[in-house]
Amino acid sequence: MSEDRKTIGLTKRTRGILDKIVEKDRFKLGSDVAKFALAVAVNAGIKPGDVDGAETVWSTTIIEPELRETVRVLFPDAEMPYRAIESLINAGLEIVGKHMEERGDLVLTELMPTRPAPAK
Amino acid sequence: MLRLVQLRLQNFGPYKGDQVIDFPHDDGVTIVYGENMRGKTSLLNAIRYALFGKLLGRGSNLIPLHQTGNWEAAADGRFGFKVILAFEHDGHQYELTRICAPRPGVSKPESDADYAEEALLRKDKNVLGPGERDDELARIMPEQVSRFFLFDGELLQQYEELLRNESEMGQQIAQAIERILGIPILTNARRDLRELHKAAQKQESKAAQKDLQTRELGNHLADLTEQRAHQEKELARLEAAVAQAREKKAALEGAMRKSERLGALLSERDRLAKENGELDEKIAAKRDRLKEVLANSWHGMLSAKLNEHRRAVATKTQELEARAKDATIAATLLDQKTVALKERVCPVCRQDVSSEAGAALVAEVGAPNAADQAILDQDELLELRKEMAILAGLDPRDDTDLIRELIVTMEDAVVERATKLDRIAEIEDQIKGVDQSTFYAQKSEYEALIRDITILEGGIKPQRQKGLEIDESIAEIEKRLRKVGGVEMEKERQRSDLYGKLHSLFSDAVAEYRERLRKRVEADATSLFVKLTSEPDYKGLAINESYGLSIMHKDGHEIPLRSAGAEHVVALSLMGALQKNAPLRGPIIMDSPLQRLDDTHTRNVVKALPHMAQQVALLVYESELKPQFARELLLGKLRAEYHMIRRSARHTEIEKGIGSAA
Repeated sequence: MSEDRKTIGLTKRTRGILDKIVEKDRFKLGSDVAKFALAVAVNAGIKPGDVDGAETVWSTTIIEPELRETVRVLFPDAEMPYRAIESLINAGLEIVGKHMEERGDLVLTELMPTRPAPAK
Repeated sequence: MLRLVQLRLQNFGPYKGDQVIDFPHDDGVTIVYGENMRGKTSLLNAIRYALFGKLLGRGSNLIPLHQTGNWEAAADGRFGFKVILAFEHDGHQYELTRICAPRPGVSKPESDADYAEEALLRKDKNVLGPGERDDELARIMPEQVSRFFLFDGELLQQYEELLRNESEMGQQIAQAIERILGIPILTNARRDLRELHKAAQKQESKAAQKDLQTRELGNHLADLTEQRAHQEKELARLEAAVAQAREKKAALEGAMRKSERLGALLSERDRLAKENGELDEKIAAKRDRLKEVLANSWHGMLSAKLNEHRRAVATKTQELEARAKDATIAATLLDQKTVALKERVCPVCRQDVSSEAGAALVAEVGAPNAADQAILDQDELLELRKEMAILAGLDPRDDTDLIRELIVTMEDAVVERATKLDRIAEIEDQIKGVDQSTFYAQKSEYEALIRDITILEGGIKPQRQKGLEIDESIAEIEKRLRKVGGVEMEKERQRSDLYGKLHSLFSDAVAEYRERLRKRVEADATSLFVKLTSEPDYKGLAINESYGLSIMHKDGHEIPLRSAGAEHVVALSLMGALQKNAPLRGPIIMDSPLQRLDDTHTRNVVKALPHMAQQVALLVYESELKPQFARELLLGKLRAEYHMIRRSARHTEIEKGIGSAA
């Protein structure tokens, strides 16, 4: 059985997307973008999987224990949380990249979960 | 009274070659028609140049001589221009010639420095010397009152300043009004009497010093007159400095008024730039805050999923707990059944267990039971409870609403900034090529002048008070001297008393005359105004201390705001009233005074023209006043019509119109 990851990597493509988002000057750090992207992926119903061709970008220390626990809780079948996190980040970045292509800009509110309408 | 006879122009402005206007001798109106850019303003300027040697453009700025000569003539090598004005005054015939020609040796002038000006005044065919010429012209038509005789719409507009107490221009116009009304004749006499009174007091002190009995008082009086001389010198210095500063301020106000539009644009641009600076700070602050909040945005973004998961775990836990309860009951029953089998007696009712019942119990006890399942459920329940504990430990924070709010606020600010930037670009476009540094320099000079005036005026008040105190002390000494003075003293005292009383008399007279004049101007302006206005509810005009006129409603209230047209009607009423009350009278020459008036007001003003002055010249364009309309309104009072005829863009000729009696 292989070990969980010690680093978080991005594919060449998702790295490009991340750079474009960082250029928009909405996020303080690239790791903040990564965690936002992870949440986007989870809300889109993406399940953790494998990432091919990821190159190290961050240490796993960028992931707060609480986020790791959250992923573990939400995806109990994923035995290695950091691998799950890496795959969700990459998938989330793909979604954000597609959104930027379609909208011509980064509209954060459109990527955030919609609020349920208040009960009448 | 000054009456124009003829104006002859040579290569002046658009007037190429020789052009002549003859002013009819009879009282009435001469109308000169000319479309825009044909030379109406140049005609007014030609008369102004003849009388005062000045050429004024918009905003009362001087027009260079080099730009005044006819362009086509200049292209033919004929530079410079000439104006000859023939007029009558007090039974004398005058011919005033002003020539502006290239200096000797200059074949192609390039600036005003290349021209020489010459003025020649003939009085009854005798040529007057330069000094006599200037004195004569200043007496016939002082430049300071020219605004009441030669004016255009822009100058009429300036009378609104009389309603603004703080305006330097208003104060200057008020002074010009007093000048035309002849008040300086009285104030000059008052000033002369004051000087005579002071000289007499000095003589009185000298006489007192000669007498042993009054020497001490004489010395004291001499000291006081000396002190007063110093105090008056200082007061005069301060007053002259204030007057000079005020004059500069008025000139600046005029210049700044010209650039009022530029000033408004620059102020707007600067304000927008400042606001954008604040918006930049606001956007930067919001952006920083957004970055902080976005760093943990995953919390809020995942909260819905976590809540969903929490609910699922809770439901599952409840389900398992219910099953565990059922399993406990099932285990108790199984125990009892096992005991019944073993003891062949029911442990609940204590009855014997029959062989049939025993067989059934054996089947039930041997079958798979809930207790086995309960063991499996316990493990799962344990896991679920652990997971619930983990979920409970997760931070429930949800900043997504805050993120949305920050983004909306920031985007609003960005849009606001972009709108302001658009307006700034629009303004920059409008003021492209305009000298802004002059405007800012004027503004700063204006502010400095206001400061200077405040300081100087602060110094004048105590000086005046000091003067009053010295005057009181002098009066006291004079009183004591009268008790002890001899014959010589008595003579000087009588002289001093006489001048003192005359000075007081003239001081009172100035105030009285001013007040009476104001009332007369108010009454005459009202009388003219009610003829000019088309509003029956306006009962007249009320005059203020500065000769500013407010429109009064029949209910007794003042009309606070008035239209540009109403301003012109009021200004024309003032013009007419001043003409009526001024010792100095002359022709009125108006450049396009009707352009802001509707048909009714135009009709009323034109009909009133013959009553405003004996000789009126109106420079208008035809759509401002249709010739036929003017003829019907003025009837016999229309003495001559002239038309400015275009020969080319730089060549206008004056032609006498149909029906001219001249």
